[in-house]
Amino acid sequence: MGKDVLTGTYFLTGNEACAAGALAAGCRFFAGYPITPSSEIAERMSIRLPQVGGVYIQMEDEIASIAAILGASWAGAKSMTATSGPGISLMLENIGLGVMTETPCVVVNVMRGGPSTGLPTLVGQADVMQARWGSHGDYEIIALSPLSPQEAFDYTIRAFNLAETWRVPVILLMDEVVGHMRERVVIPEKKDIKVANRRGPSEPPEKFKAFKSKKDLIPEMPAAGQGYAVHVTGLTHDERGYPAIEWEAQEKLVSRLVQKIRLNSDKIAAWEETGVEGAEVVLVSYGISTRICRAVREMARDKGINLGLLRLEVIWPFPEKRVRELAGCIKAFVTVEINYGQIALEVERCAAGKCITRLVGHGGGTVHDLQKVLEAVEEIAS
Amino acid sequence: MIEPQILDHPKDLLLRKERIPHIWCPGCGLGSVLSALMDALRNSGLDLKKVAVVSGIGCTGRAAGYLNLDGFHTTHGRAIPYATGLKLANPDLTVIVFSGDGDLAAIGGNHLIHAARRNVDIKVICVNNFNYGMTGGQFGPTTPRLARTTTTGYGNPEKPFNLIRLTAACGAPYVARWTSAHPHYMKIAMGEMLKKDGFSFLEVISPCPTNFGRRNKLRDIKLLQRYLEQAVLESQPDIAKADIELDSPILCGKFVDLERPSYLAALKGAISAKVKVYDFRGDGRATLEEEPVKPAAAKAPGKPAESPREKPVIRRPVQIKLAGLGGQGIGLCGLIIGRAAAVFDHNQAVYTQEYSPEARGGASASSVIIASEQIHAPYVTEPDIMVVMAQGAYNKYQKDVRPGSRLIIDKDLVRPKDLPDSVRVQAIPATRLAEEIGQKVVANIVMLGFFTALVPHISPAAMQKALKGSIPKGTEELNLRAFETGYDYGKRVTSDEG
Repeated sequence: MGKDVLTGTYFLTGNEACAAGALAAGCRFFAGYPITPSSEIAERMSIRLPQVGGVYIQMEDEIASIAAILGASWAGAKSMTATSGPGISLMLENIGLGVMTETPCVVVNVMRGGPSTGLPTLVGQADVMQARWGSHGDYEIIALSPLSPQEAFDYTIRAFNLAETWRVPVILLMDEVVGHMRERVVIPEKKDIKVANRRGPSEPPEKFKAFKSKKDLIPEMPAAGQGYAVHVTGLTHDERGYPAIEWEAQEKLVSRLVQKIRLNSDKIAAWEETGVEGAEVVLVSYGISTRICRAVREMARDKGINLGLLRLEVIWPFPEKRVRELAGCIKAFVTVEINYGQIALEVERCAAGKCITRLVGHGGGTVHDLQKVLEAVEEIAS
Repeated sequence: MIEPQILDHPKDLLLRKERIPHIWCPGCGLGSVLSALMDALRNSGLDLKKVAVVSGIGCTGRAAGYLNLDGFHTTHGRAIPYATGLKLANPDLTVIVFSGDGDLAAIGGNHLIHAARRNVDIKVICVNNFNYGMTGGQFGPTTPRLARTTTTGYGNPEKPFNLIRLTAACGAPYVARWTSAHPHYMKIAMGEMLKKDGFSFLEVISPCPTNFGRRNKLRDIKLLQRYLEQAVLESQPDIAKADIELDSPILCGKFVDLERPSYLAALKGAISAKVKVYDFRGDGRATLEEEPVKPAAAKAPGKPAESPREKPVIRRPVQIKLAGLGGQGIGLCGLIIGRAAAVFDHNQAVYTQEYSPEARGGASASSVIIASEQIHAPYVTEPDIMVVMAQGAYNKYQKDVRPGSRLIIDKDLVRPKDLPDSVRVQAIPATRLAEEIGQKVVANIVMLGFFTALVPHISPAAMQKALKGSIPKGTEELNLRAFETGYDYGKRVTSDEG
């Protein structure tokens, strides 16, 4: 049996680092369907999983891929799939099944330009709202966005840990640039990697209710074959998991699915602030666009502009409280993202008129022109 | 008086009694099918804790919820891929898919044929009632021609799927058909499926009197009677006669029962024997081995973690663009430069590649930015150095040659034109030199050596280490010779330039 953590220093693409992160997090099942620009994750997993006793399977489409990883998760495996825009669109119904049945798994979306077939080989960041709202019904989800191959490694582990802890599919919103670019990636010693695992049943089968939550709103999760005769359904269900087609059951279940993320958002939401204290204008961004914002901050500093940066590590749940606070202290937020206004709308909502909010949008295909972002900042700062 | 003793029915153990009564209509065949499955399970000797049932959506889809087993009621059409995940992630489970004809053959039809082809170890029981019962009786993929349903008011114009021929043609090693009026034979077939290694498929023709029967003049129990009359039982049924028409015989029996290595058997056998435990190669190509570079030890106080002597200091990011024709290996050059800087010189490097739809032949470029500090923007926008190995590539990327930059070319293959005076051109006959060494294919490595001699930002030692880790085993000597050839040529050029 091969090692799952190959400690060392490498020069990797984000996609390769993502696969390495998945193995380090304990992923032992991958089902996928080829799609640019994510295929290298599947290729890497197809080589690596058999080396560590895991299973790789290439399914007939993306719908089958997500269904298979949900099944594998209930068999007790940590499971993952990776795709891009068109594939994510196909997966959405079953991402909802994952939410409804509280099935931990990781779905990687290496974002490319859309809509439709769009720009298969070029970058986009326009699937952010889709990640949040794409499946039907009301729910909360977790999404993270790495900005480098090193973070692709780190955040994949983080995504698995969040999925296991909060029992929800976690979406890793990478983008084509991060997926394909190479940088130094340091894979630490296995003992230095923190890995979270789902909480198993603390009671014997006769007393156990599979969807009865604990104080943190998370139920304990047995695996198929452990003798718990679980019943898992995408229908609205009661604490035993049995279908309950009535509003009271809906209220109880859906409010818990929403609240388990919302009430715990302090523990889940994560962002990075640079030079925000005393800044007049604060940039908001995530993923590859954050690197553009970092470069713009340096250019602004040379021009004497005090520019802050709020970078979303976790995009969903969104750091509402912090954005609200900052809106009262600054002149403007400028959101930089490769779409025509998705997170910008969240920023605007949370700023609630307390400060100016602007978007520097982009249709996709490449990253932002530094100069254009700087100009938008200068216009407000002057 | 003797109190009557009330015992559990033997099947009760397998039912979630609190879920009974079920939702199925009087006259529906689903109860018989479920009952046969319970008998087959009880007789199988299987540890029932290790049996999971997966359903899709529809009347049949509810079956998973009535059995006191691990049960998964999934989305419409997706029971088979869900079951595939369950089974492969825990091969100790016996996984049964129990679902309807619309679920398995229409919306889930793609999964059905691929699971049969793949021969994944699941047991699929398809209860075929010829219509979408739960949604009110619309026609489905198995509705016989001319049958009436709520969406074929004038009779069904479509030819139905013959699920027996379909699954057999896809390679399913076990295929059988019975009607719900044949509980004994169903039970036998299910028992055989539970023992079968690989994908097994049972179609059960089952009455839906409420929707299908009512609209086809076969109300209540008449529909089941009709199936019983139509059924033709054969010990070796001819698969060519398995089509079902409204009034045709319904051929029943076991159509296929053969041995074929299952998906899991293939994984465990032929495939696992080939799995080599490779080391993680830096550029991601897993067929080659490479010693990973151990991470620098944590800095002890007052002691630098790495030797600063070896690390060139790059104050301002240097942007390098490399262009050539597909197949010249110019991408590999960029990768080695980046790797040398990032892994061995402990600087920062970002490597990106232009992706074009042509896999080979077209002009392509890769880019590297190197710096001592963190690099933010990932793309090369104003190259400080351009390396060009073909005229086609030069023509395509000439626009990127900036005044004051450095242009490194293969002097036999590239004729620069319209250059600003301030561009410093340095040339090497890389391809010719490579041919002299004996292999044209290492022209890129000759160029890499040349580059290393000219450009001070990457140490030659780092470049050589990165080179060794990025080439196929057994070619080290050739590649190192190519590198040295280019490097020596470069040293002569720089000393001539003075």
